[in-house]
Amino acid sequence: MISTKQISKNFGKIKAVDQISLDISDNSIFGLAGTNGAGKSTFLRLLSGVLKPDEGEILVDDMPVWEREETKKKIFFLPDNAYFPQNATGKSMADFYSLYYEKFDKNRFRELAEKLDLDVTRKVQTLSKGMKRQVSMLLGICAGTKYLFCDETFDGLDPVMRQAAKSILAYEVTEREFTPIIASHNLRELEDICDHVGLLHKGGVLLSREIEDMKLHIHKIQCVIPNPLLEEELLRELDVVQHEKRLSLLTIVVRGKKNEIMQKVESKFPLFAEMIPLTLEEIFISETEVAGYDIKKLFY
Amino acid sequence: MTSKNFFIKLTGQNLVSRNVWTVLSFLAFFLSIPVMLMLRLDSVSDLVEPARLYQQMHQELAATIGYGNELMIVLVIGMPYLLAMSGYWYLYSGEKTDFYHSLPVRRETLFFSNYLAGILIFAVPYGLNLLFAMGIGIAKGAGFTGMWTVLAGSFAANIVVFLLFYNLAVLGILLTGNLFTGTLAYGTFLIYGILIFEALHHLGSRFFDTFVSGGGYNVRGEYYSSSFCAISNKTSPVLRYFNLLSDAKPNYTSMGSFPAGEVAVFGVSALVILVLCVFAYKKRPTESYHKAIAFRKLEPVIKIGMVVPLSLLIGLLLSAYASRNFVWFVAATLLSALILLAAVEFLYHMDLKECFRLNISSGIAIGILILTILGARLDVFGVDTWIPKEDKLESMSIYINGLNSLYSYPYEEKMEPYMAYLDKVELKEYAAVYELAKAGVEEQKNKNLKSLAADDSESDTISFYIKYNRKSGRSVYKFYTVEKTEEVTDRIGKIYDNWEFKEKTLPVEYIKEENLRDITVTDIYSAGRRPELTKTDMKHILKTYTHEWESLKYADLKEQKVEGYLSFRIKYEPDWFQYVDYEETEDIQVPIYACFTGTLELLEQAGAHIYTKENAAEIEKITVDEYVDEMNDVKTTEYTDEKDIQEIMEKVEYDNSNGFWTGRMPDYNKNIQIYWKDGIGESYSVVYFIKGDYPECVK
Repeated sequence: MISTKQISKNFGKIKAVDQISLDISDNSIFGLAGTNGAGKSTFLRLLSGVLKPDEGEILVDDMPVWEREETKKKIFFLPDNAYFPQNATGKSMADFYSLYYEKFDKNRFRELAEKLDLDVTRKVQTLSKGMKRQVSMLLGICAGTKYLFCDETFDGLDPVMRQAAKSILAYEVTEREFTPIIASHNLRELEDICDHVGLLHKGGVLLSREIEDMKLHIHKIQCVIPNPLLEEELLRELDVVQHEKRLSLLTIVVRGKKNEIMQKVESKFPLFAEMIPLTLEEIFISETEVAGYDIKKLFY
Repeated sequence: MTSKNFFIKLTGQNLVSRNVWTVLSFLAFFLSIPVMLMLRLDSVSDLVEPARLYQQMHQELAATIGYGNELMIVLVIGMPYLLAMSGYWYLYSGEKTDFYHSLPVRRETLFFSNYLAGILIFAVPYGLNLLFAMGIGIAKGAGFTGMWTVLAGSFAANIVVFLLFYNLAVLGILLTGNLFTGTLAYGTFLIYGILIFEALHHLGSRFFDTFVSGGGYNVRGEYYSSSFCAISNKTSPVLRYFNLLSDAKPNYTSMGSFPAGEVAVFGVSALVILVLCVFAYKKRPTESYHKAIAFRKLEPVIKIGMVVPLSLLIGLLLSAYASRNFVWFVAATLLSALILLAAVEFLYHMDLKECFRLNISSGIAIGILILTILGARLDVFGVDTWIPKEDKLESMSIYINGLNSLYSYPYEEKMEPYMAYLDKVELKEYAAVYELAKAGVEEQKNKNLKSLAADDSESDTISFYIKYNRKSGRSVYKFYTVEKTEEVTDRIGKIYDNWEFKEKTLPVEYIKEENLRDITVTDIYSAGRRPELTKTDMKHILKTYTHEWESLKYADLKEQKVEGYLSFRIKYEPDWFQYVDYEETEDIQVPIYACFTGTLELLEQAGAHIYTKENAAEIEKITVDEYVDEMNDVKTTEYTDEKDIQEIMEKVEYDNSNGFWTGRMPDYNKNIQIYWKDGIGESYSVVYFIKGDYPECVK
């Protein structure tokens, strides 16, 4: 488990991370969302022991991470712009990392590379941006670490590769003790893989919840209510976060229990009414409003 | 995996990733040692006669693999910078720092694996090429007697020196955040001592009349120093390295000796810098890349440390163009300080707006400058009036302009004459010297005399250098100027009559009989006459002359006239002249006083008559050239009348060597030439009238 307590990091006058306290449970896929400059990369660099926090404490499995070899052996950090030494190949990088990570699985690296059609003998510098990311991703997965920190790792991958990468991550989580933390500014990218999401904004954490947990308390309904008076009554009765009407189709995002909401909708004699899945953005709209933020201003 | 194995593997991995540098290092050493040796051996075999070939080749081999290979200086100073940059370059890049610092390895381990790899890239190719060169030397017949000692010694010395430069280069990188400031930092480490030395030297020369620079380059280009400036001078590793090589260099008699003391200094310094490096690496914020200075708290310290001495130096040098005017000096210093402060701020922030922002450190720098200038101008510490208590002194040395400057000494070649003399002649009986020094201090208190650095033989002041050798072991050099009164001259006479002083002041005391090669005579008749002398004759003349000069007291000296010069040609001692396997000679010229009857008689017997006014009858004519106006128009008057010639010869003096004692100053506006009847005597200007004492026919 990763636990941060009131950690802060300043770069001169800029507060990159401000008093973040966060717990990340084991064997979950944790999404770290936030706009550009929200502090996601800094937070991951702090977690991986690259940066030393100015204040606060970071514990990985109850052990500090800064300058602790044993703790850092549990962590593999994939930065946004991964560095590869001059003339390095995928194979040489695997050799390089196997020196530092005892559990590095070179065979699995070779197998996965073959599956993704990656030439591990080719110089990494000559690969495309997406291919470099694939190499990074495979190195991170094959390092055998308990924690994998991915900073905008899916950025630059084509949809097929993105899906493949997500599948590999999901597979690893089911097969061994593995907790990837994925930072991204793209909520859509996170929503179909993460089971837990933290939202950073201006160096602080706005919220951190399990997605399923959030979904229990907020719902999206599409319905057609012929009587405008009843429709207005319904909107008054429900705890509406957002509503939109296109022709006669009313779409509402509502807080509350699923059964109670549906009972109220049914009581207005709708011609049609159904619950549809919520996007992560819509969930965030709801959750951040509680915290007094207008999420639309953050992401749109 | 044990930590030891892990470290070895890390270092190995580092070496593999830096294989280009290993190849370049090998090539550089290959060109600098084996190739250089082959060139030197070939050039020797072309130039040197076969009989001396082996000896010369042996020397060339010793110089190339030892301490006399100039290309090694470039490598020992240049490669540390390149290797440090190649090893720690990643600290200047965010991506690379993230990469290395995210690895599960302690920073010390990462630091030392890089560090060791850098040393190996230097040391292994160096060692291999030394062995290769040794093989070439043996194959070419240069011999190997004593060569392994030279090889091992120079290898060890250069490695230790390299370590200091390497550590400084690494420290430079760790303290900075980009290539430009990292390079500046290394350069600053190398020359900061010189910068401080130059600033102190110029400040002292500018403001303190008694200040002795105590440092400079001698005729061989070697650096020497002797005063408080020595401390700052010794902080420049480059100068120290040059001195180390100079001390250890192979020469005529030796293949070079291991400079153990200096190597130890380099070793200890390297160790201290290494500790600082490790500390800096551990404390260095990862996010320091792209910044000018990695540690924010060091920014004001570095700024003040650079701006204060640099602007002082600039101010002093610029004001030299304005006749050392104080106002110009202050203006130039403060203006250059403001420009430098702005430049440093720009370097720190890369923002023009920041250049002109007032901050505390800039204020401190300006404050230090103002205090320094005022302190020097008002001599608040009493630099010029300071004199140690007499009972605190072990000995004293004195070099009197106009007296000591007449003579040359064999050890002058090492450094400036006055400095060499002061270091050599330390008087245990120094009461008279101390009294003279006190007179100098009194003059400073009254400030009624200006210092005169030039020869004072024709002025009404006497200037002299004093070296106070304190019981504490510390030496202080001072320069004084006093009015030339009878009392002062008598004091100097007392010093002169002191055998301890005379023994080390008369140049003949340094001539060994076995080194004497020739004697020539110069007088009003001709220059450089060589009498026919056997070795015994020469020794006899030397002995007689030495005895007569030693016996000459101050009281007699005041009445004496110089009639001519003796020139003793002597062989160079081996340590005087390096790289010479043939005999080099040097002339020591000494005055012949009229009272040296023994010497004059021996010279007469050898057929070397010394011509004086007694020989006026042999003179055909005398011409007197006189400068009549500022345009250097010359009026020439010819005197052929015997009476006129006799009258002129009564009044002229040969040279001015004794003017210091007699106080009789020549009139250089009147140029006198003597023409001899025999047509053999040379006509050259060698006699002068004394100012205000002219013969009737000339008046």
